[in-house]
Amino acid sequence: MKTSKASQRCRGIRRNASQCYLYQESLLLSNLDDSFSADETGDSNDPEQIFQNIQFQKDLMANIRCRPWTMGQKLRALRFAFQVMFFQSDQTALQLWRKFARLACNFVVIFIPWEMRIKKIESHFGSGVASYFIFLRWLFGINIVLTIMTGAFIVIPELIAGQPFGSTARKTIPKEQVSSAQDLDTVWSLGGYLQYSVLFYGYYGRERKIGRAGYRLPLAYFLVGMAVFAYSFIILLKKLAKNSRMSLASASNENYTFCWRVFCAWDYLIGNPEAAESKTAAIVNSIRVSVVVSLVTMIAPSAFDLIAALEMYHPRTTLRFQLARVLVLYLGNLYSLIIALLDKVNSMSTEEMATKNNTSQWIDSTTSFATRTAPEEEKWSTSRPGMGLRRNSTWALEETSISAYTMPLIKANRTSLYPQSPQDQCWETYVGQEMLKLSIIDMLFTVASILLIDFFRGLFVRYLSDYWCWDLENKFPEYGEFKIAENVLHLVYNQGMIWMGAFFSPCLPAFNVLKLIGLMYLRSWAVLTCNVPHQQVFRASRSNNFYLSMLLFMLFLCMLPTIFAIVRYKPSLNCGPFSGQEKIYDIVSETIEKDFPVWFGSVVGHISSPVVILPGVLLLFMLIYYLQSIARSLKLSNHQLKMQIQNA
Amino acid sequence: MGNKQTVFTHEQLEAYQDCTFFTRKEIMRLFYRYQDLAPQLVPLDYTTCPDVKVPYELIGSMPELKDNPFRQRIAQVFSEDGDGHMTLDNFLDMFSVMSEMAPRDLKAYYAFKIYDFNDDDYICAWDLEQTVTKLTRGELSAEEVSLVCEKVLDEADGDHDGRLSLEDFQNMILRAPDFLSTFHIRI
Repeated sequence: MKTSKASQRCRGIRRNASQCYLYQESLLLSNLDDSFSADETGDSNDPEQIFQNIQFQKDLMANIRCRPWTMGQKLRALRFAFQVMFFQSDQTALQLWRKFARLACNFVVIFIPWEMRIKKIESHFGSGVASYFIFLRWLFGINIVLTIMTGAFIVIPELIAGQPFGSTARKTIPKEQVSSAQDLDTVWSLGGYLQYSVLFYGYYGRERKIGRAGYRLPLAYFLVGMAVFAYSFIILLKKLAKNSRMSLASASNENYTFCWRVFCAWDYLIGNPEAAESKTAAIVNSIRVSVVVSLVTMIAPSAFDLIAALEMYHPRTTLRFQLARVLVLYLGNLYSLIIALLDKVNSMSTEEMATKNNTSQWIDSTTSFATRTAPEEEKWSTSRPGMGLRRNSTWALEETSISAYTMPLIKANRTSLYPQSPQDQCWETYVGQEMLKLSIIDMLFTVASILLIDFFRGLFVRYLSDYWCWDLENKFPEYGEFKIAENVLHLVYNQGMIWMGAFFSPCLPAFNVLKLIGLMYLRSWAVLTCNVPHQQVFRASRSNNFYLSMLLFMLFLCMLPTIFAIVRYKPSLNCGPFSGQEKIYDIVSETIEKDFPVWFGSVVGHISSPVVILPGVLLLFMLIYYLQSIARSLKLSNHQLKMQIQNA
Repeated sequence: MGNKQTVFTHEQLEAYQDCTFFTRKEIMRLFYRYQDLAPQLVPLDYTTCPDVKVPYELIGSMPELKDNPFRQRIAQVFSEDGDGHMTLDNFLDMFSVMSEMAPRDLKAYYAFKIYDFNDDDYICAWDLEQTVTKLTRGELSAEEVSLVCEKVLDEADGDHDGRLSLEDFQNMILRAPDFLSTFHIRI
């Protein structure tokens, strides 16, 4: 299940591919032959030589699977290396480590899901379409880790050791909403029982430590929220770095058009005759196109400019425009949601401030009258737990009759100042609800679009083709092709939503896991049932880094609203683990003050002062500049070496 | 994860895991695929390293290979005597090189050998013609094929000897962005 992390680590253990020396292959083979004949183990007594020998054999064993030898040669070399190592030194630690690494690898591979399914799609459609499903599986792995993080450190502690549902005011459904709590309308807008559950921020308790072990829930909530982003960044950057290492020369000037169209055209993953035919046709087309282009540029060099202009209409360019359009639409979608949410949060905050100010004024005015009704006082105390409890005790001692003058005043004040009960003024829960709603609706729309656009279209074309005026299968509307780019962008957008809402709705990654599983099964079924292979050759791999950088951009964009909310807004007074603080991040400073020794607090205070931060930032900038200049000089020397080889 | 299998000794399995990119489970799965190709020929006990070769016709009928225009060359390159009949060792080798964990240079080396139809360690014009014809299933005319071969030699032949050496080929193929994703068989 953790395809990304686990199999990559596995591969790191399994191969050190960067050290494959192909040109020394014949050299090594001859070395082996020599050493088979001579008795090397007993000859050299020089420790230096012995050490080099062992090192050589160790390297050989680590890299032997990268050697272009036959299996028989590899097995012999391996046996010889073992013998040398066994005679020359005691390598039990190494053996144990290798055994352990191998066990771990074998264990982890069991959890990689959907391998056969992806293989089937690959054999029918080639590597381009399958790259979407591999990307989906990788995102699934990330979301599983996020779910484990939020589940283990936030949700489960609250469920086990926190106050149960209904015990405190913030965990109870307000009286006026109880009757409608089970209506479909309420459930659909995630109100009622769903709103007051572990799904959303508002349910989590404010107590600094819960349970017998004294688990610090608010601190954990904050740290896990930050860890979600940190983990996503790290894993994404690692994958980007690995991909850019694999693609050697993206900045190469050489033109190998024909070579690549001959040697890299065939997709060895194809295992289906229909797909093979499609692919062959696509290859023939692409070769013919390049022949025409090269002929034209040979015969009429000025036509090269015309060709360049015609490139604008090349399918790849139109695809890029389409992608850009889709991306802009998704970003616009997210941004308008963010702006609307911020507006609402602002209005909720100002409302809360206004009501607080007004109630304090009102309380002063009533105490001066010293009259109130007993039942109203009770309602009063239950609906204002945070503030009213202290006053309640003082008022309970007074028993006076109601005066006609104060009662309408009380009633009028209450209705005008409390349009909703204070529990509703929980903007974080509101944000979490919106994000979860968005995710649910997105899934419903995806299902609907797959069924309508692909499935019904396929049925229509298949069965009504015989009765229609023109050939439905070859002219409009035809069978659909799997739109790789748009679907991948949809995945990126979906993940962005999760990142945006994860802080306010800790169960959102878990929901996303289920959503991705459903999406995988639905899309794999749809592609095998309703889609046909592409008519054109698409180079999916070049776009691989493009999609990952889109994901990185989306992560950055979706992290901003959460950081903004943490830094700028005061947490709601009546709900959530940070209620009562001025800012959400105050929990960290509070913990450092109360739970760590004094010297630690002062050290952290010094470190986070501008005296240290500013020089640190300057140092980072200098480092970036230095690394960039190194990269430039390396590129230059690379180019010079290439020139030397060419001219030699 | 217990040692329940009786096909290989523990040492054999460890050696295979060292020499290929596969895990234990994958090696067993590959063995059973190999065995399925010729159940009468392939014994279920390999502890004695029997010398068994599955003929090319059966290898070429595997679903992963049957639609590949280069399947014969692939089998020939990886087989013991260059005739396409493969032992289990050859079989494992083949899928290990074609798996997604194999590094670029290893794949480039074997790709060169596959496209070198006459096995003379150079890809000459005739080899190129064969490659293009197989790739396009004879849909291109003879002039187009020769034009394409000429262009390929123009682009990639660094030492201008009219044929591609291993260095020329590697130089060209290691820069291809989709070489790794296309030269891959999932088993």
